[in-house]
Amino acid sequence: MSTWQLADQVLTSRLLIGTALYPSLDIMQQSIQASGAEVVTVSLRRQSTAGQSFWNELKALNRRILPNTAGCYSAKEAITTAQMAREVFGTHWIKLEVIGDDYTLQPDPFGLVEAASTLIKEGFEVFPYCTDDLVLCQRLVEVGCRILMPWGAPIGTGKGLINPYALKTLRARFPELTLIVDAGLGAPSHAAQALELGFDGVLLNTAIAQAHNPVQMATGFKYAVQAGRAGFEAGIMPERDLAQPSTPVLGKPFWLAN
Amino acid sequence: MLSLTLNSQPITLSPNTLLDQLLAQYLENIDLPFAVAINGVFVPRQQYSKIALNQGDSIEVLSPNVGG
Repeated sequence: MSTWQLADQVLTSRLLIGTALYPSLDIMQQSIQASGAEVVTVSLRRQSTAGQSFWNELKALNRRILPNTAGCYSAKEAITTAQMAREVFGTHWIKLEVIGDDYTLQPDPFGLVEAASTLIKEGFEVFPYCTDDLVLCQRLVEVGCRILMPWGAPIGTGKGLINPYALKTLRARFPELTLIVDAGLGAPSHAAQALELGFDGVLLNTAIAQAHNPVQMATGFKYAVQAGRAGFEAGIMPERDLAQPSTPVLGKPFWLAN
Repeated sequence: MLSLTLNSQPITLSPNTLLDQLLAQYLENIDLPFAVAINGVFVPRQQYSKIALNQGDSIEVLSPNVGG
């Protein structure tokens, strides 16, 4: 299987996976193993007894950790959380979330650019969770982001890619950037579609964790990502409006001739 | 005495208590990595022994948890 570059890391899997919402830590561990994901997202929260078990499990998984700033509603909160995460996890990677709307969990584009700008100056590799708005993405690139993570749909909705046109536009406008669809995926076919569009990877959590069988779903996403990438690399045929027979017309037997 | 909050829980400390003294007292049974912010500002680990806590400080101690 081919490799790809994510920031300073060479990876094989194009699936990044969250660690929340699983029925149990054991199912989480099995799902992450089955997914083949090499990068897992985590958060920082106040200490709890469950946190100790999770930490032990996380260390045993031995995956690259991508901490998030989930739950932050301002650039200041996100910056502080990122600084704390760098110390706790020993990584300069940060999945930057600055939420602007409670109902849709839509990112706040203004706070996101402000926080990204500060964190990049402080040496972070910022993975901004953003919308698919082209101008927002341009601003993020201008402040130094090398990776963009537009949503497919609002977090946890499972709607898939609600605006493939906008995502295609991002791929076309930022051919050199690492683009990852983050959030909103529900089915393996959604992940395949993102990869077919030329996205470098997908990041998801709920679709696997809340499946009836998370481990089996993780396997489904693993293969969907591989299938989508193979399709993109192979070169997908152009769409046509008119039918075109695949079986030769020349040499038809006489009783089929009109 | 100083009145402060630690992860939103009210606590009372003697004046001139340092951050590392508070952490030693409250985290003695917890074996998790953590990071600290005071009044929303990150405090690097190297400064724990130099920070004197003040009346009304809001201290957050955060550790790894599940996340998406």
